[in-house]
Amino acid sequence: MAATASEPKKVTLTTSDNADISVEREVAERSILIKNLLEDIGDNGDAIPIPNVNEAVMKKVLEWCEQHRKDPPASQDDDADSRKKSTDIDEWDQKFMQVDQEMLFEIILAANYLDIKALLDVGCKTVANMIKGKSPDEIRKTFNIQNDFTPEEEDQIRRENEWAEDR
Amino acid sequence: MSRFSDLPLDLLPYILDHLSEQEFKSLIHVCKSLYKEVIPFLYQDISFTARNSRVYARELSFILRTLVECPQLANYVTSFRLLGSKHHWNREDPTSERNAWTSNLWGLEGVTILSKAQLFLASNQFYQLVDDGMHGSQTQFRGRSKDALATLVLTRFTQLTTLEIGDGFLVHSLFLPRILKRANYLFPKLGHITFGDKKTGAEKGVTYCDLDLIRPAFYLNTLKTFEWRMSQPWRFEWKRPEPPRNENLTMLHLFRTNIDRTTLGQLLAGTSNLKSFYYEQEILFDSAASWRSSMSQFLELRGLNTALNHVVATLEECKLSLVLGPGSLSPDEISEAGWEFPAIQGTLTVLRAMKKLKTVEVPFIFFLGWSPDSAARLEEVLPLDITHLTLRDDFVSHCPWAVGFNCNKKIGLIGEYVEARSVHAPQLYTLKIRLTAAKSDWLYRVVKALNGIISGSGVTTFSTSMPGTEIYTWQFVKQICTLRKDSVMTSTPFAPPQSSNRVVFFDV
Repeated sequence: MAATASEPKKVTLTTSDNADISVEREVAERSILIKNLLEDIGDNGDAIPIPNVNEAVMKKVLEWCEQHRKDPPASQDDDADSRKKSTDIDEWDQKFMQVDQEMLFEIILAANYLDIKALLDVGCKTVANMIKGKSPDEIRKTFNIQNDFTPEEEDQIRRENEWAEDR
Repeated sequence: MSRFSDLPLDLLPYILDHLSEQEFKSLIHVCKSLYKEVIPFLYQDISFTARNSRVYARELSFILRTLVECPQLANYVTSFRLLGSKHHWNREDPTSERNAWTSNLWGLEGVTILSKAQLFLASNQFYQLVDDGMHGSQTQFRGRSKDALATLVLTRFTQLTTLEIGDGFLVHSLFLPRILKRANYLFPKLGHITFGDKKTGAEKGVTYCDLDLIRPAFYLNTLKTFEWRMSQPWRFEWKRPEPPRNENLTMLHLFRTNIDRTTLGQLLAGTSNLKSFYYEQEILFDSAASWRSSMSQFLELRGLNTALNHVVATLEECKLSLVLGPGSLSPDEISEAGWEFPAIQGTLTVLRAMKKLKTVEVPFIFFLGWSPDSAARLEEVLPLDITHLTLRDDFVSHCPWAVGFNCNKKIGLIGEYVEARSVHAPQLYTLKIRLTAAKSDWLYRVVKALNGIISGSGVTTFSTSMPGTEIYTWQFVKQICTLRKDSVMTSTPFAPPQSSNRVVFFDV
């Protein structure tokens, strides 16, 4: 049965912590995983289980999908060159990504699992921007990473990559 | 709790894709797992540009030391570039004057970063890679440490797929031709070679051409694309029992070249499966004395037809252009001196027979002719299955029909061709006209007026500007699906670049 314009089709997603979220099908279909699921099993009104994403993260991801529901699909050409190396993020996405690191990485993981390429891209760009211009020590502090090199290993790495030092 | 280290490793490349060498250098020092993941990124694409001689000579010896001590790192290198001007490569290395060792060191005497043992090891391996004739006269290599270092580094990269060498090192290096002769076993994966600088530098173009650099590429059965700037040699021959029949080489791009048609024919005869051919012909028009003999060979198109006939069965994309070489006179200087620009004679007729040809870019004058009263009809010279046609205004300003009614008549032929496209070119998707003419020029106004002829439903028009160039584009939707214009638009592989200044003109 065709939905009328005033009554958009909805689907229900069940998150890992057993929360049911009702969302417009068009918004949910920003996720290629969900889109394919709906196409394969048909929309029979059953809730779709999303066992890898919890409610808080799912809501955040759907907020992004809502904002970007009308975006055209990225063409193959865009992927190759313009996307690479650029870390420009549009304003709304920048604000959207102003979350704590835990949430940031949860969003990236969810975008990867749900197959939402554009969101994965924004997440990875955000992380890339957190790395840009930082020294090894600053990177460790930013991401709370332990230095597990011995002083000898550090010297070895320095020697090995001395050719790139002053470039 | 999700942290950076919880990200699956297969996501890390997505992040690294947005970063460059600077960040890779920091990341490898952070922790062991990042070192392991980022090292391939730091080494995948290595380039050296000759500038201040001491700095890059030091960088070269540092990387050679690394490759001697950690040979496994060389396996990550897939792309290597040696750039920079001839002047900087040639500049005398201040440390090379020391005359301490007399053994075979290929000019590496002054390299202090490598230990003596490492130097001997490297140069012994190098010994096997150069011609016997070189072994005897070691003195000629004194002070050639940069040449030897760069070449030694190159020979370590056995996984190389892309090699780019600028004019500077091509002319400087004595070793490079010897190494390339052995490319088939030194670099078993080499697929792309670029020789020469595409952009015109401040210095005058290189006129020297070492054929030993070019010939091996044609016999390399892994090579798919070869781009280079070839200057006309005194004589060209393959120097092998059999001329090449390279099946894998599908893309040949000659840029800023001044080779004659015979040489071009010899090259194209060696590429039996060529799909893409670019040919940017650089013509020097400097003084009355020198241009007549050197230019005459470029002025008739019969030779070009004959040369292109070698690839008539396979070619899918053909881009030809004409440029004035550095040192040429400006149009004003030519008219002041009272000279007449020599006429281009004949018509490019060979394309019509190319059954697979889809993309064509050529100067107007190759079809529309030089003199005002003769021109080919486009449908007589273009293949039936063409999808993308670009016409360029190279040299038109020197042409007798550049101004006046004759210009309208010539350009009108384009309009007639496009109007009847359902008969002559049913697959035609884009027509582009690439203008360098000033907005006040007659040609510019005539091309603009073309829009009155090329219109109707299913035609989208826009122009793209770049400094000094304006490109007018007409996109055609096939008659049957005029209502689905949007869907055809999104699938275009030739959408105008996002960054350029896109304006819709003629919205009337």
